[in-house]
Amino acid sequence: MSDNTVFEPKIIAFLCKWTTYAAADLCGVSRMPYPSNISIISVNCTGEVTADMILSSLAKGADGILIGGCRPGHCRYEDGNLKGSNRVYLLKRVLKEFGVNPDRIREVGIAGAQGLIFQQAVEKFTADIRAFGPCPVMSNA
Amino acid sequence: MPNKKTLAIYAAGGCGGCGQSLLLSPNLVLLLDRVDLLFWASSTSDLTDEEISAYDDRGIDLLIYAGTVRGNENIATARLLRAKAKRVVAYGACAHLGGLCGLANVYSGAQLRALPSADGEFVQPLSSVIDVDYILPGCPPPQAMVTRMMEELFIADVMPEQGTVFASNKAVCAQCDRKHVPNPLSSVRRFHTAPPDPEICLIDQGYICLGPVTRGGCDAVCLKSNRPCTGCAGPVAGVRDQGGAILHALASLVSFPGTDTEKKEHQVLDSIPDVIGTTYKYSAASSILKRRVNDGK
Amino acid sequence: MENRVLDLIPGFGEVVLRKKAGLTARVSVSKGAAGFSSFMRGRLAEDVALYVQRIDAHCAVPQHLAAVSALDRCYHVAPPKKAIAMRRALAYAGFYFHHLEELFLSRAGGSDGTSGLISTDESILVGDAFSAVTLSQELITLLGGREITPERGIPGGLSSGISDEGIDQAKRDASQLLSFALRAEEAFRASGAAWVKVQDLTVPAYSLATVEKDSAVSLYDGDLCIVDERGKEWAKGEAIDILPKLLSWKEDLPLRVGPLARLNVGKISTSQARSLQEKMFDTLGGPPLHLVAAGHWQTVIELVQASELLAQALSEVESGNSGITSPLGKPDEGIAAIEGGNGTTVHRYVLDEQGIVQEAQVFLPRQVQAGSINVALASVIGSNDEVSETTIERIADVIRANRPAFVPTAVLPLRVTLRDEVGKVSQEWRRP
Repeated sequence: MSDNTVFEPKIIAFLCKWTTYAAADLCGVSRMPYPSNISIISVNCTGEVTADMILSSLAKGADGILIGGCRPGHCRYEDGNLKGSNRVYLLKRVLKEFGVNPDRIREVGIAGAQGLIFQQAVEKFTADIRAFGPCPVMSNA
Repeated sequence: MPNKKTLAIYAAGGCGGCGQSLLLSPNLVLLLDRVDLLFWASSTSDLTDEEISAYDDRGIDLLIYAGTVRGNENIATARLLRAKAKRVVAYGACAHLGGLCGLANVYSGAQLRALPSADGEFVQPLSSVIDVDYILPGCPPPQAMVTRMMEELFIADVMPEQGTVFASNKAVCAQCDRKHVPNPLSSVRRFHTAPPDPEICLIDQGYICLGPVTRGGCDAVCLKSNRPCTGCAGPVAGVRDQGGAILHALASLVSFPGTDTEKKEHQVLDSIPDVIGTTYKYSAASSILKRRVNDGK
Repeated sequence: MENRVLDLIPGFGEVVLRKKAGLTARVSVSKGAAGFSSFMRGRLAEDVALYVQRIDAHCAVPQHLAAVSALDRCYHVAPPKKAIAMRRALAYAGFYFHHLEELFLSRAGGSDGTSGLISTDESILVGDAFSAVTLSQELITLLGGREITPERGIPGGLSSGISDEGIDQAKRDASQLLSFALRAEEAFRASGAAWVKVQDLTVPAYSLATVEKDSAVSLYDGDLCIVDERGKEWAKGEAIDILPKLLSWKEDLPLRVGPLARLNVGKISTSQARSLQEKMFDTLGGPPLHLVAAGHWQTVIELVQASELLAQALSEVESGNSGITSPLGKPDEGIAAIEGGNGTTVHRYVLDEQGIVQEAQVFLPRQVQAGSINVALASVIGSNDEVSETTIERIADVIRANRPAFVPTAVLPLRVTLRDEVGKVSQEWRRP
């Protein structure tokens, strides 16, 4: 057997319980598998995701961060999703300055009924992160 | 009269402002009366590692360390000093957070055109290499905080609890007397036009001020000069990453619900200039990301 | 123009001698500000003064003022008179503070006395020196907004003004500073002058300093003037014209800045300081004067000069927050110079149209000074292949002669390394 271990990315997913988390649930119930690389954290709204959560996840070994919430105009808290999205937008600039590939953070807007779309999104993101390789931030810690 | 405490002051790389802040203290002469000053490097003398080694382990009651930790030489000296001291104070922004010099962490060695021997050396806060007992924040620490440190360390009968920061646990906003006039952030203002209104919160006027995420105790002196807080005292209690925290807060102010795109939000966010210099000015080296990495791209 | 990194700040902590084809000496670079001018790229114009004043807080005030003056030029703006008056007063307070540190506080461990240069005269007490330090910093706070590292300088003027009470306090402080300066000079003439008289290190050099319109020496801004070793004018003009000459210095003698340079470049314009300087010339001769230790005496006299200038400047300061900035133009390149205690500092910035720094260069007096120090070091070391303890002591003497603070030291803290052809350290001496 080859002694190259295939890199299996660790992905942390912050999912809004009203939408993307529900989609993930639907996947589970419908027996639609998605890569086990992701660990899901349910949040009430993507606006709840702090800059510290994102940066700390990277520092603790996450290779990718998926944030799933509502599309603009659809947040039940009116603009929680916008605030969350703003934070990601600014943090990507910070990541770039520190040399980190900003595409390691991905935002998706997936409705509760879109189980298949969720499965596909996770497969795609996992493949992309696998191609990027391990995130070097943890080695700084 | 109880035995005098022994004090040593060590200044590593930095601008010397912290040394000046000690010299300015009206309590300095009193202090020198009450302590046995073993050395004040490199103000009054340079000190080799050999000479530091000559002290007994834990033989120095109190060591004040000001300046950056950059490179193996600094790390070794810091660890040696730690072994020789009972309590260590990280004095000033460089020791506390890495300071302005920490901005260098964001660049690669080649970009910095660093000195040959400095290749690969990055800035760290003192607490990354040794245990730190006390922190005196500021760049340089303002007199109010210096006085508090001197009183608690040298005049009080009981040593303060380890982990004490000689500043407020509240944000700078608590000492700023500007009025709050809530306003969504519709564009970021710079100093290109007339100076800001001195009575109203700078963020409400569209300027970026780090007051909400910065430790207070400085009497908001920069705000009183009609300048924003630049965060020199480091993150307020409860915040770990100062830049992330202020960006998080600013992001909350940029909200134009009612459309199905984020175009307007992005326009405003794009107008925030120099994200690193503005939000991580003193704390880049102690941020969660700490320093530049090589990530493919 | 080559992007000269700011980390070339000569320090006095290390002297490097190369043992090959005769010894040469070099005052080596300090690591403190490694990469500064690189990480200035991308920073905001209005923050520049806050960064540069933290390169070396010893000279925080002149660096702050040089930065805002250069930024004024980047933005093609002339600040209003009210802002200029405050900046000028701030400059003199900072100048005074710098000289206090040089003379009294930044000393190496010495066994004789506690008050630096003026250690043999009992009329100058440590407490008095500390009071003067406190007062000068109070002035910096009143005028600049914050102690040690001022806050108020912005392109086009100042961010806020001073109150009437502040002006009154400043005038009171200034008058006390003048009294202290006069006492310090008197004490120096009674004791330190004797030390200067017996020094023999003389380094002929060209001198650079800032001058007012009437060619009197300026302790703030003005034209830059370079005179040759005889004191004859060699070049004069704005910083933008003189800067290229500094960068490509090719004359047969080194270029000097600081107190001794100012002594050679022009007269002192204020009356009390001028008459004290005349007394110094009666004792030492000159101008021109290239006795390096004379710079110490000049430093003490400049304490008086700075106090007189400060009083004049304060009489023109007005209170209030209105009318302290001028509208900014479209930014590009700007170069300006300020005369700090250590000598002329020149700042150059290039901004893009959003006021973001594209290039930043700060030329510190000590970079210029290294030339004349190196000449002195080379003369001390001579053509010997051997480096002995005696040589090391003579190196220390050269440095003492150039920095008043180190004069009374019994042992000057110093590290001298001897490197072989590939730069590897073959021998090292450390003091203490």
